Amino acid sequence: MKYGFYTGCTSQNDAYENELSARAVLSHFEIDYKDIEDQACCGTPIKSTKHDMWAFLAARIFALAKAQGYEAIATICNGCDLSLTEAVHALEEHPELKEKVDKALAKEDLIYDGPLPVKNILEILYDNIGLEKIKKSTKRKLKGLKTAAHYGCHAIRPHDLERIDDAERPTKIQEIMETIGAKSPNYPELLDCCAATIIGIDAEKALTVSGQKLDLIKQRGYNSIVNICPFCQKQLGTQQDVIGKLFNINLKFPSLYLAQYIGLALGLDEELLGLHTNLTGWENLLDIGIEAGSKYE
Amino acid sequence: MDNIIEYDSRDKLLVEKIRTISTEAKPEDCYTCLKCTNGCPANKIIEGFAPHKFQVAAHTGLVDDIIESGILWYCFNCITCHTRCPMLTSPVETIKSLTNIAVERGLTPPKAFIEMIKTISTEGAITKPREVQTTDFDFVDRNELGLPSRGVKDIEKFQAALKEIGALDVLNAKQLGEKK
Repeated sequence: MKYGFYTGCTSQNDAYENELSARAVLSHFEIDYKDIEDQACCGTPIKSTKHDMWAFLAARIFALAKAQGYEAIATICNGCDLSLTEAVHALEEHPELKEKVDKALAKEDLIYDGPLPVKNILEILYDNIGLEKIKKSTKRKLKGLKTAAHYGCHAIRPHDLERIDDAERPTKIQEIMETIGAKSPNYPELLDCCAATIIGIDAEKALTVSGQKLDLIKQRGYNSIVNICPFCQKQLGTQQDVIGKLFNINLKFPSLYLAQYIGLALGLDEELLGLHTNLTGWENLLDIGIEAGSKYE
Repeated sequence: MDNIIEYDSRDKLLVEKIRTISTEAKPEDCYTCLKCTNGCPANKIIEGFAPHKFQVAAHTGLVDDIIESGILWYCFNCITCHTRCPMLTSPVETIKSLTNIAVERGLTPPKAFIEMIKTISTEGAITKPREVQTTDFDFVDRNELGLPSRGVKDIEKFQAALKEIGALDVLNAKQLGEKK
């Protein structure tokens, strides 16, 4: 499968470690991918404001990927992944919307002539590469890690569209974490939203919601968090300092992308995984998490 | 039906309008069991945010107050309501449809959305590239991290396409002030 790699705004412009670690891990497993040229926003942030513009931006990614000869689109953001998947249905169900989108695409000499499969990195890791291969490639077991999985709403909902995992009982992230030696048990807040969507409208409320989740995760004895979406990672990782000040608590709590944990288990270079741009205290994980003696093998 | 009081503000065609945006919203099928509102994370922190009420309001066509209050913009878009609805309606799709209808009516969306549309039209993305801090207290960007450059090649053509799809209508919307 020849994947067109789609970054999305957040990873493209500041969540660099998401893109770095995704590239490192996909390349390690020899997934055939190249960047979709000329890519822009997937549309999801303005779906509630200008529905037609959302559909145009999403259709544009399919048009570009098809014209550039790709067989599927690889995504590294839950928002982008759902946006592309939903747009396919919207364009099928609303011919008048497709007509408007076609007219706009024509301005860039682009044509939307149907979708391509959309595969999030979690699907590529779990379904294409598979647990067995990940297990065989693991050089350092991440023992000692008790990692709270955060799937992110758009990875699993809505239940009636092709999503990455089950809407109410997702397991894929946790199965992968356990494959590389960590523990990742369920917890009551597993499916709770990170509230990233309202960060631009009411930051304090958005961070209160993510702070409550972080606090409970910590209380439940987890020592780390795993994310697959850059918006969620911002809410639960990057913004920890701000949340800590808001609640007046110490919230330094290692929060990494799934690909970064896998990269660590594969023994990949830490900078190649973008770990040096993560300020959540992940270095502690190396002391507590990686099997003794294997760190400098 | 002659005996039923008809309110002036009732939008009799609202359900039809919503259907042109989303076929899944189906406010007319809601029987107010409250499963949506009970599972709604915004309901726990935003006073008055209750998806089942938005379904009822949309069904009856009495949404002016809700739209003008700006409360719909507080939806987390977590889609839990859609997933849990026993009648297979989608409150989140109703909310999205109503915010779109609000913008069509000329109400200005919260500033963050205006800024995102502006930045998409100049950068192709909702934000500009940023430098990020490293654990060694350096600041790095895409280039320094060895990542390939990004951006729309022919920005003028891209902007022409955005104009065609009506993106500028939002930017030119009557400034009614940020509604909350």
